[in-house]
Amino acid sequence: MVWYRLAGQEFHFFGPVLEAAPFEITNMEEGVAGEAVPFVSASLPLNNLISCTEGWVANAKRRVETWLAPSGFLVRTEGGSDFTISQDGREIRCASQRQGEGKLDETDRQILLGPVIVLALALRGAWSLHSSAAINKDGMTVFLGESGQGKSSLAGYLANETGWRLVADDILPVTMGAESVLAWPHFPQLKLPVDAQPGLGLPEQLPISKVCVLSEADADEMPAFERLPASQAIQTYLGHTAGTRLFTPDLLGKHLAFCSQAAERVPVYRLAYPHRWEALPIVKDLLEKTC
Amino acid sequence: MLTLDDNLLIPASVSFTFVDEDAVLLNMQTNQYYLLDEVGARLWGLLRDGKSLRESYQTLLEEYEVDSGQLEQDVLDLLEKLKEQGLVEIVQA
Repeated sequence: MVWYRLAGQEFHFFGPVLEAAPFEITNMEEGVAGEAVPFVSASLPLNNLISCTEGWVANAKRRVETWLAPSGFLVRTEGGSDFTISQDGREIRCASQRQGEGKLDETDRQILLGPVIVLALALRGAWSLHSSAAINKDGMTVFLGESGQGKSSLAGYLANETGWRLVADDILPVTMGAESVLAWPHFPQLKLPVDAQPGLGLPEQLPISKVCVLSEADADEMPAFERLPASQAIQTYLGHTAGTRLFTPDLLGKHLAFCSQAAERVPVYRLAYPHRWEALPIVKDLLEKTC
Repeated sequence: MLTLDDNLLIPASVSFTFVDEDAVLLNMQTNQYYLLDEVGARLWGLLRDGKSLRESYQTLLEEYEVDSGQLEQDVLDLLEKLKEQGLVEIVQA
């Protein structure tokens, strides 16, 4: 068994996971492992289907089901192995490994670090924003937006500018802090190489200063910021949290409560700009002026 | 058809939160979210507080400058939509 510390939470996996290697706990004391989840075979009768959805997982559109299982949950993904998650989200096991103990193929690794870990984090009160993020001396900005709206391009541009650093470029787990929303950047960003994870070297948790929803403006328009009212801010959080279609009713309620609080605590802006390279320095200036 | 004398219940499967003057409703059975504007959110808050539908209607009539017939129609239309989405249920007396 291997321990990882992802998004500030310790996870006990059945074997090594390549993409999570930078976050492995190498000095875990023996005897601290929690109670293991009973092995659940694929043939075990499952009591209750919680959710069934289709999503983009491991480079393909796949059906993903969440079932209530003994001692927790089972995530079944089309074309991949079943995974069990303990009720507290701490223990994750592969229920039907296809390649022997401790070895997962790439599809299963992406399932594990996709829907499975997102659900496990949610069970522990951490929500996974589908986002990119960058930080400067004034704080961290999280970029949300539909695919193709420039999240990666903008964060990547900022990361190469003086005074800025990349924080995330895919999934950013967040929790509610005492005064603000906290981001937990120690989390595998599957779009980036294992040896270039932006969370490495950053604090384990960082307060979020602002959130920007990206949208494309006409080519002749200037980049512009617009603060969103709370009702739109909450919709923004709701719409950009990964894995909500896997959630139990209880989790959905907790997630709504989180989004409501987050909308009150962190300003959310719509950032519209033409998607061309020349606009990015202006966007950077705008971001630096909007503290 | 709903009337103002129907008794309504917010099911346990509905979670909601108020944001500024709006309300966001979640049907946890379907994982669908709904946004109510200011007046709809006020109505929802009154129902949440245990007011009857007629009491809620009377309160809205006092708080907003609106024709009584139009308000009744708007309230019943909204609640009909909420009922269709499983966000309220009619309780038989």
